[in-house]
Amino acid sequence: MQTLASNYDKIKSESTTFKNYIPAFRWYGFNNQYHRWITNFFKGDFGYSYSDSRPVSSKIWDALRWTVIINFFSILIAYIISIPIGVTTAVRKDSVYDRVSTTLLFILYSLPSFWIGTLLIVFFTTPEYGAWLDWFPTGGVTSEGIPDDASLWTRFWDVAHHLVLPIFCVTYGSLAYISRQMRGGLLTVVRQDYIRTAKAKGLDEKKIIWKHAFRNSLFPIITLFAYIFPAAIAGSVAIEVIFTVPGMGSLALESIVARDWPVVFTILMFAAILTMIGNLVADIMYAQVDPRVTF
Amino acid sequence: MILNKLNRLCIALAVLGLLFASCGGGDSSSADSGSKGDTDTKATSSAAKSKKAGDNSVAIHESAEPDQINPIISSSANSTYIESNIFQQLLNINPESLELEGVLAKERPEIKELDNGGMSLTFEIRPEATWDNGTPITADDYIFTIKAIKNPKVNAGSIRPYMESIERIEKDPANPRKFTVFLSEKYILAENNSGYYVYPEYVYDPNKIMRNFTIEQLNEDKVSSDKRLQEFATQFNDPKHAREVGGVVGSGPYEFKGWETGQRVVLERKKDWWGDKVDFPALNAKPDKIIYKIIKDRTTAVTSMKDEGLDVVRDINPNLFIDLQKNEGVKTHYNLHTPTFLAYYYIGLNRKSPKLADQKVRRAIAHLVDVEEIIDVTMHGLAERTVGPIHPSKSAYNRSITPIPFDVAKAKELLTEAGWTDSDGNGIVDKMIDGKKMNMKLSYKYNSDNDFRKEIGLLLKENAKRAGVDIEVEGLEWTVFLEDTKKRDYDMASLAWISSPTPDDLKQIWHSESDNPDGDNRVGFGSEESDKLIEEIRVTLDEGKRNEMYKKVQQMIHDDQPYIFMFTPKERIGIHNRFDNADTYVARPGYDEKQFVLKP
Amino acid sequence: MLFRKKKAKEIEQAILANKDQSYWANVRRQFRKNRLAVWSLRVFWGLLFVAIFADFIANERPLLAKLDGEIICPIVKNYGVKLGVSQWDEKFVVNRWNEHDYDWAFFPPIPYSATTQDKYNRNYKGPFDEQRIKATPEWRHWHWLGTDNLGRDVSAGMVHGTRVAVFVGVVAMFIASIIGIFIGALAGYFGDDRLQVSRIRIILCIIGFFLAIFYAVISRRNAYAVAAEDGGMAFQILLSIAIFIGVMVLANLLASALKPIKWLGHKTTVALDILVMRFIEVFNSIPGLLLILSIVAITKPSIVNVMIIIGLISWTGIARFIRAELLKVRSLEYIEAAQAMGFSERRIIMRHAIPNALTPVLIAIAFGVASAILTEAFLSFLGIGLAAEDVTWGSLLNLARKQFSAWWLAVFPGFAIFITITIFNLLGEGLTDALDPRLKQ
Repeated sequence: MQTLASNYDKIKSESTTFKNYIPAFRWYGFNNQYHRWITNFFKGDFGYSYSDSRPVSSKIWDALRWTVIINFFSILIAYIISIPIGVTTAVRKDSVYDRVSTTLLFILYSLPSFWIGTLLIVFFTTPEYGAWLDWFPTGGVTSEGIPDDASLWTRFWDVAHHLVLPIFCVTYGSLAYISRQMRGGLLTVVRQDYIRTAKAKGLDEKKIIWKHAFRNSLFPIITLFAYIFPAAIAGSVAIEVIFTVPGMGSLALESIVARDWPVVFTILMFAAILTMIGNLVADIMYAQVDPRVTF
Repeated sequence: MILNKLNRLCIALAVLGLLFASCGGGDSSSADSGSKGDTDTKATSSAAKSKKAGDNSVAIHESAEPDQINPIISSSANSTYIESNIFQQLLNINPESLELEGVLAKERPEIKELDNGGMSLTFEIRPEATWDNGTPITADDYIFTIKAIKNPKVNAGSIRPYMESIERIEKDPANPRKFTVFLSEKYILAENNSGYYVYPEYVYDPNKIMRNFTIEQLNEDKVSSDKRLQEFATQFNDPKHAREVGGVVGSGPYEFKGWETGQRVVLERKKDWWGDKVDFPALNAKPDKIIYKIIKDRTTAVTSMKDEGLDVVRDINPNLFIDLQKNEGVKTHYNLHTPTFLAYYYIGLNRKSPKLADQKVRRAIAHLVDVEEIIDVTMHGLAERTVGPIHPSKSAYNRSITPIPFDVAKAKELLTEAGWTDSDGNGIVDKMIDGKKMNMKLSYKYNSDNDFRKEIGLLLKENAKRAGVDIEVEGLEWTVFLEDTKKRDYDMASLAWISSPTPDDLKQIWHSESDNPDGDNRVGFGSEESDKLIEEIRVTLDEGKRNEMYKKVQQMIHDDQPYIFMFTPKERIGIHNRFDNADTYVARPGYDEKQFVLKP
Repeated sequence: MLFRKKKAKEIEQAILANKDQSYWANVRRQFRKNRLAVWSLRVFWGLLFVAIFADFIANERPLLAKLDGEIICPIVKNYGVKLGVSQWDEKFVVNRWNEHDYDWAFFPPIPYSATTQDKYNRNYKGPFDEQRIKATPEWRHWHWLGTDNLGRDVSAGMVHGTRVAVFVGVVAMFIASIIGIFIGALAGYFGDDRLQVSRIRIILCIIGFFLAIFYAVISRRNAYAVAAEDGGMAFQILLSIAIFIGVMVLANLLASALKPIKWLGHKTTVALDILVMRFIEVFNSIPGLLLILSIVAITKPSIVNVMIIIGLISWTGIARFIRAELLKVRSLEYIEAAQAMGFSERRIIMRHAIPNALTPVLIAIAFGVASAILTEAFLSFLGIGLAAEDVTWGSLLNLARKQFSAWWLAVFPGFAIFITITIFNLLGEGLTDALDPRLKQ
């Protein structure tokens, strides 16, 4: 200990701390850690995980599957439910139906999904609060005991049964948003001259809405798709943790906590690239839909 | 067997870090607590029919993903339990007698003490034992296994030290299944360590690369630059031999059938397994299938139990376990067990910290820990007080030591004796050390994912205030926490050790040689006298003599008080009651799923 | 979460499309018409009140008491102790506050602090469970919202949680606003064509920028490493920002001094808007939540760190709003008039352009506060970035996940998060509607 301390003092007295404050530019060539990492990244080699020495790509591939499934169905369901809601609320603007559904959807939008997820898994996956409430399996994505040669249909039902709650939690928040978009979009279109002309011509109200107005009001909704790419990769951390879905969110959280940097960097990089692609697609779509937008 | 020591070396901290990671501790339905007696026995099996009746596969809960299924290179406890069904060791601990017995070996080895201070152990592998391809298991396979461990390029860092003393292995020229292991030194755990797993050479080293080297060469470390070692290691460390079907092969009753990341590992009973020809309890393997289900969230695991999704759940959080005991639905399908758990929880006091250098101060702090309250609040009574590093269930435990009681007045008195008084009237005791006034402010560090240790800290802080000791409860990420304890940058550290039913080797934790950054003597305990005793225990093969020495060391540790020993927990296990012969044991994991038989 | 970005883009376009000139009055009038938004604002004042006076609402210390013939006010004194200008007598540290023999004492409405452990009511006592209350009158000391495993009062935790939530929202958005307004105003006011800078200034600013990064961050990485472990991150970041600004100011002063030299003084146009917008796009492509998780996981757990990190990450929305607004404002006549009168650019931006562009920023701030509060609750729900003794809404919810029969731990804090998020979302909606009267037709 003594020598250690004296050595430290010696080193300290000889140190040249002022050098830390002289900036220096050095070129380290291409053969360094960063360049190796980035070239390997674009070659598709993401390195190995610190925690279990598996290739990062295989870990991410395993996780990505589930996140993509959940997000795909979540978005699909969100659109299927909220587009009709949007249209009907626009048609029956300011009616009781409009106000009630708007308020309800707004409440859903503000409910934190990690809270709802916790409540759901406690109440609807066990017979504890009454056997009739035991509707879903407790977490996970597939059950064991399904034979390898089971039909695709059996497998699908099994996975679907497991994923109902997680998909619900991911979905409900976006219902409010998409339906409001739809409502707003339709209302704008309805005010256009050509719709007024159609009305003046005495065309059937329903026909006007569905045939003329609806299609034109869909564009802003479609552009929303562009934002789905990045969301799929970052996943819904809390939902995946609560329902023990081995998706990207769980993987990201786990790797961050365990400081498994190769995995964390790859996920961040992927998410960034997909966001950029998403933005690009969105911008192009905007420009297509609305010629006034220029870049 | 090595798993026991592995546990101690590196898993122990890691596992316990996770073990109670989410222990909330708490009994909520207090409305009826105390108001009525236990209605335990009312549960009738006729109440609800199990939907799993007649299912002969066992679903076991694992709270973490195994790292790899390859005993030499894996280091997580979850892997160990899976590996023990695929691979076999020469010797195993009988869960009931806690004595070693032969599994792959015909019987326990013949042990000789040698004149040069070393020892030799002669093993014989059972004549019936064969690999899956029908070839017999021989001494060559064992020698290959040891060489693989000693290959410096193989990731066997956690197991290699235990095999260091193996000098050479001699095959019996007459019997290919018989061999003698020569050790350079006597050691109480030698039998344990050398009775290790045996790997099939034909699968893991088809080109017989390791036959080019002798154990002596590997020990001398002169061949480490040989390219063939690297070649073998690359192939051995490959994920193929850690997680792929066909690459993970052992002589055990179960075949590795698949691993779905984050979900499950599936093992299937081999159709004609060699062990069926031998009538020996340790070679029973009844269930057709074993499924390890990975569920990280413990609450989810318990919820899954209510749904009969799991057959075996261990390490149930105490608060949830207490709830389960009251849950009629669960009790109709599960038996709940609380076997002894060979582990102890402690608060390490850093003897190198100037504030804690005085033994009286350490004892004063010990008086401020209300262990009974901690057991009550955090463990719900599912724990037992302990006073030293030896588990109370062992004969080496020193019963004459009385635990230090919670006593604020006594703590104050000891602090005053040690020169700590509140001279400035701010409520915190202080003392002049090296001309500087120091307040008694202590850091209590723990790993932040572990709520259980946080609660211990908060309870302690509340009590310590009364004696003028200010405790800062500080949660750190696991790796940072370990780094701090290595650097001795802490006052108090909340940790736990897991031990095994085998004799305890105290060197790792209590010898002053281990008081280095990589050693586990992180509190800086040790005197010449204690070191000598600890070294002697390691080579004393006679149990009676050893126990006397164990007791002396325990007394020394108690007098010095570098650890505040708190308690040893009870394991909390739930097992589905369609299985018979499902006893629980002291040895981890606490049950033996191979013995489970369906009730008629 | 998924659609927030899209929403931001839309509002941005609404701002650009809006030609109304006198918004302050107009916006206020429109906003007042929205009853929900007005109520949200009232609830917000309530939350703010609870947050500021949390210590006087839930505290184990008496508000005012007479002890040994002396009148004491321990809650106020505690602020002094925390600031280091005062200290407690030994008896107050060594004994609990309810153990003193007061002549008389007034306790706050909730006579517990968030950290007070009630020994007799440990292990999750619900509001309707049997509670052992030693003090009289019993109803004053009853745990109306139950307790947690250590016997800590949930209502006190909720009050403290309100403070954390509101402060996280306010501080994070304060930081975000400063950065966002600064960058957005530059981009919006100068656009792509108005920034004429001398060559020397461009050169020196680029060099200065790298030097500033060097002195503010790179040469101080050791200090950061220490701060990450031992705390004080907030101070280090402030210091870095100060150094950064200092170096940039020096570079500009030097540029002004060298401007008279002819070649160096030659003016060129800088397309500032494009630069800023591309920078924002790159910044936005980093997934925010993952970035926050990564940073919070490696720094010392502290709520202040969480506030700062959220703030540093969420400025882009504000920047885009203010840029859009300024792009519009700058072509208005009064700004042109100001330019014609020869006012300096800085004065025009600060005194004329920004005040008129602030309204839409309020929308971004309202949504931003909701988002920041949700992020903090989410982090403490995961148990990340929270010091041992902190009690927040998220940490209470987290406890509920471990003991789900303790419904009061799930219902009350979850509801509090929900209400807070809702009011800020409603405020944001109300402002959006007020700003874009077309939607109200």
